[in-house]
Amino acid sequence: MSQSTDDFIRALAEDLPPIQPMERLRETLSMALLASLPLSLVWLMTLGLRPELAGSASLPEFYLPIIAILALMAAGGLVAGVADAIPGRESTMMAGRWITALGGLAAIGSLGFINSHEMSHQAASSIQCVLGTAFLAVPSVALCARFVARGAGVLRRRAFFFACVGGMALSALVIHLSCPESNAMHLILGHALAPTIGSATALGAVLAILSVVSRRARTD
Amino acid sequence: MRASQEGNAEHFEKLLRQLLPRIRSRVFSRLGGRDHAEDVVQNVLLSIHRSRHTYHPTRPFKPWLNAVIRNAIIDSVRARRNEWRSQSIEDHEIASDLPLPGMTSKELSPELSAALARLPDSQREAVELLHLQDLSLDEAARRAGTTTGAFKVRAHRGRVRLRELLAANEREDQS
Repeated sequence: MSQSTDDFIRALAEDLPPIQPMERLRETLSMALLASLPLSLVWLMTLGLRPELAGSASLPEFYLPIIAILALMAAGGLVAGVADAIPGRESTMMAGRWITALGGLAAIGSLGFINSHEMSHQAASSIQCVLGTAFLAVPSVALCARFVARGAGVLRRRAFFFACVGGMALSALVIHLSCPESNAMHLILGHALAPTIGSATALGAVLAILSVVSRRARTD
Repeated sequence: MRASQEGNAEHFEKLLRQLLPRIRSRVFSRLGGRDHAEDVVQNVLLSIHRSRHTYHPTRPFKPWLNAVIRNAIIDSVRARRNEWRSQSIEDHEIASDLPLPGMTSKELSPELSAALARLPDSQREAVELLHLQDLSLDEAARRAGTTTGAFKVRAHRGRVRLRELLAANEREDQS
C-alpha cells in the first residue's frame, strides 16, 4: 500500500454507513434451539416416544449416559461454533470446545465396551438414524452457519464444524427419544456418534464442493 | 465505538487515531519492524472497519479489539506466506524457461531482434539486462530501479512473450 496510514484512516472514516450489531451469543443460541423445535416436534408427534419412556419398563444399557453425551456435545458445539465468530469470545469458545471434546471422547470410548463384531450388523440401521439426525439438524445448523458467515472468526470452517456438531447433537437427542432400537451398538453408532460422523461428512462434502467450484473458476 | 456503529465518521476517525499507537506497537513487536509492517497496520485498521458489526456495545471493548488485531495479524502473515510460496513457484518456472534459442550468442538473429523490439519497454529491458548483458538478478533489478521480485516477473513475462512472437513468426513463414 502506497497510501500513508494517515490518509488511509481518513479514507476509512469517509462515508461511514451505520451498521446493526450482530445478535449476542445467547440470542443466537436461543434462536438455534427455537429453529430446531418445529421439525423436532413434528418428528416426535409422528413417530412417538420410545415405549420405555412412556411406561415403567427399564431403559436399555447406555441409554441415559448417551443422553448426557449428546447434551454435552449439543451445548459445547453450539457455543464453540457461535463464539468462534465473535472476536473477544475466545475463552467461551475454548470452554465450548473442551465440553464438545469431552462428549466426543466419551462417545468414542463407549465403543470399547461393546462387541466389535456387532458393528457390521448394526451399520445399516445406524445410518438411518444418522440421516434422520442430519435432516432434523438443518434449521439450527443453517442459522448458526449464517451467523458464522456474518462473523469475523479466523477460520470459518472450524466454527462451522463445531456449530454442525452442536446442531446434530441436539437433533440426535430427538432421535434418541423416539428410536425404538435397544441394541447398545446401534445406540452408540447411530445416536452418540451421529454428530461426529455427520459433521465430518458434511464438512468434507462442503470443502470438496468449494474446491471443485474454485478450480473451475480458476480455469474459466 | 457505539458512535461509529451509528455512522459517526468523525468519532470513528478519532477512535482509529487513538488506537493507532497500540496497534503499531502490537504489530511491530510481532513482526519485528519489517518493511511490510505498516501494511499490516493498515490491514488491522481495515479489519476494525469491516468487523464493526461484530462488537456489541454491552460487552467490553478491549477483548474485542485485541482479538481483531490478533486475527488481522494472523491473516496478514498467512497471506504473506502464500505470496512467498507462489513467488517460489515462479522462480521454478523462470529457471525452466532458460535458455531461449538464439540468446546464447550476443549476435541476435534478425527474427529475435525484431521480436525483442516488439516487447513492452520494461520487459525488453529485463530480458536484455539478464540475458544479453549477463547481469545477476539482483544487479539487473537494481539497474532497472525495481525490486528483485518485480524484476523476475518482468523477465518471465518478457521471455513468454518472446516465445509467442517467435512461434507466430514461424507459423507465418510455414504458411
